[in-house]
Amino acid sequence: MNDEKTVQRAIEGDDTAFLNLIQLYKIDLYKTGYSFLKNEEDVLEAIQEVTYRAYKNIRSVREASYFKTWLIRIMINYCNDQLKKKNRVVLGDEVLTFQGSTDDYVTLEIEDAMLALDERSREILTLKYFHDMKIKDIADSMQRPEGTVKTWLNKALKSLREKLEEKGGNVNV
Amino acid sequence: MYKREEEKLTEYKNSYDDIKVPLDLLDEAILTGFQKAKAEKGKKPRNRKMLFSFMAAAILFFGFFTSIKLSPAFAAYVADIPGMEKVIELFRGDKGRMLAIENEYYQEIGVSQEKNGLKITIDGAIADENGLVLFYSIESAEKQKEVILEEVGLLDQNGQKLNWSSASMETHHASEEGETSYNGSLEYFFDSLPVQKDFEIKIKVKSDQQTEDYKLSFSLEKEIMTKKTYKINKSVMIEGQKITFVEADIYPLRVAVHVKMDPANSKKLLNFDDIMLVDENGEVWNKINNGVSASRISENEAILYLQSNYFNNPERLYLEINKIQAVDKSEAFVVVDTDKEQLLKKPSGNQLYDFKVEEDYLMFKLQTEEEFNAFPFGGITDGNGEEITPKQTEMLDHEGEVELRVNIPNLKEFTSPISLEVSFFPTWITGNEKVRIK
Repeated sequence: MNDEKTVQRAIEGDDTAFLNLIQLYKIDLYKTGYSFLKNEEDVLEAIQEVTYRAYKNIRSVREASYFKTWLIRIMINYCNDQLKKKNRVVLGDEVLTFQGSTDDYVTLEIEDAMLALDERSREILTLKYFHDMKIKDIADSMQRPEGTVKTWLNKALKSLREKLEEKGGNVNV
Repeated sequence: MYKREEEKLTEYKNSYDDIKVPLDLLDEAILTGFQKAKAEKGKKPRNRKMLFSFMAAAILFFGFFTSIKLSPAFAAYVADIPGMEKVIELFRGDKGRMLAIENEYYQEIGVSQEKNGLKITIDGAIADENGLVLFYSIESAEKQKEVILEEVGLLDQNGQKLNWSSASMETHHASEEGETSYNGSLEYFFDSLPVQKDFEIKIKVKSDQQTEDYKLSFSLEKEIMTKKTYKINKSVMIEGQKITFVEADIYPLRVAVHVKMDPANSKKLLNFDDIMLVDENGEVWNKINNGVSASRISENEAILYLQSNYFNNPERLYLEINKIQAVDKSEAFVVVDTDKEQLLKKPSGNQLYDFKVEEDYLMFKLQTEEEFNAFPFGGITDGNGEEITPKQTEMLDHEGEVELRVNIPNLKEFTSPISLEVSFFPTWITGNEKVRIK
């Protein structure tokens, strides 16, 4: 599938092209949403809103080759907003249920650490490691120099290490 | 350098490889989002006209949109009733009403009247002991760019106007490309629903080319389900403000929560922005987000309305309170000098500014960081303490800067300064409190 052409057509207002693109990335969107929101219902609502925002803002895609990054970033932004809105008690409950349903301890630990990160660090790590995106793509879609993004990435990894160590410390009590 | 962290991140990513993805629901969500964007492209936002009666009802219109999933059985049921998809569309944001429909509490009416090619139908209703929601549709042979319900009057069987305490109606429909059919809802809440079940409704409809008057009669035949009441009597403190939850009445159309504010509070609490019902499974019912959201009984007492979980029977039910609009009691009025066009008093902060008088309009500007959709002013009095009833209030959004307009007929005859009670305002107190109600 020639992605860039499809993106171009979507930008020009071709609804089929737009829907094809969303179809193409829907699983990525779902997973990203789930990694933030942790429950199906909220993620589905997120998907709906992201589709809506993407369609509304399709003209702001500057370069067709970065469409995926652009789309994933809409999801991340939306999720960050939702998390801010959410009250801590409910979030706590949801995290607990999620924890109850998995016995993968490693995942848990990193999950918690990711949740504790600041928004930018989390966004960068999600794009880089969750979606295997190149620094260059991330930099372009954020409209920042590559160097800046590299610095951010380093900072993000550093605070992730700190968070993980914090957790580790607690566990060893 | 961060090898261990990178490995963990990769592991983290891999742990999502076999996550269960509900493909059907995912596609449904995509379609809904797409349709919503598509619909907005061609349409101006719908206006909902709010009306007040003797009780100062606080009314909100939120632009946000949530979707509620349809079960297959429900979908089949919906497909059986003509016009039902549209009703569902109107109610996607209200879980309680969706449940009412799912529990076959929706009542088909299907009464229509046609005049010169313009036809109005009362499709159906949902009623409970204190509310009546009617669904209507308007159809025309030719595409209409604008259809407006200019006058709507709900009467009893003897042609007497019914005394409702609050009403909220979708009266203005527009589409740039034009449509041959529009639909909306009319909501009435009463202190108690009239005992008789026969009604008449008078509606004046204006389309692009014509204006017609309609009068339709209909009856409610379904048995009205009675409310369930839970005593609460528990208090919470949020940023030093004490709030007591007295009781909750659960009706099919909404949940009414009676709250009392401590008269000793330093702030006047305006709107409970973030309050919800949560059951033992974590299922959430939000506030009514498109219609009447609260009624004030007195200075320190109010009824808050939430989406109804009448048709669910949770074992435990909690109220969660997170965010309340509040202003200092000493700043709970905006006072304007209409002669000098000056803002004499307002809540501190720079949210409200640029007061002007233009003919019969008081005009303000309001700037907020967060989206804010509620009209800030309630009761209005002039310099002699005489009550003023505005003809119309408007909120116009100019890309982040909101213009507020209060239309007061014969404005010049009222004595300056005019004071406007602050009913909504973009300043908040926050906390997170949970109160068990069942």
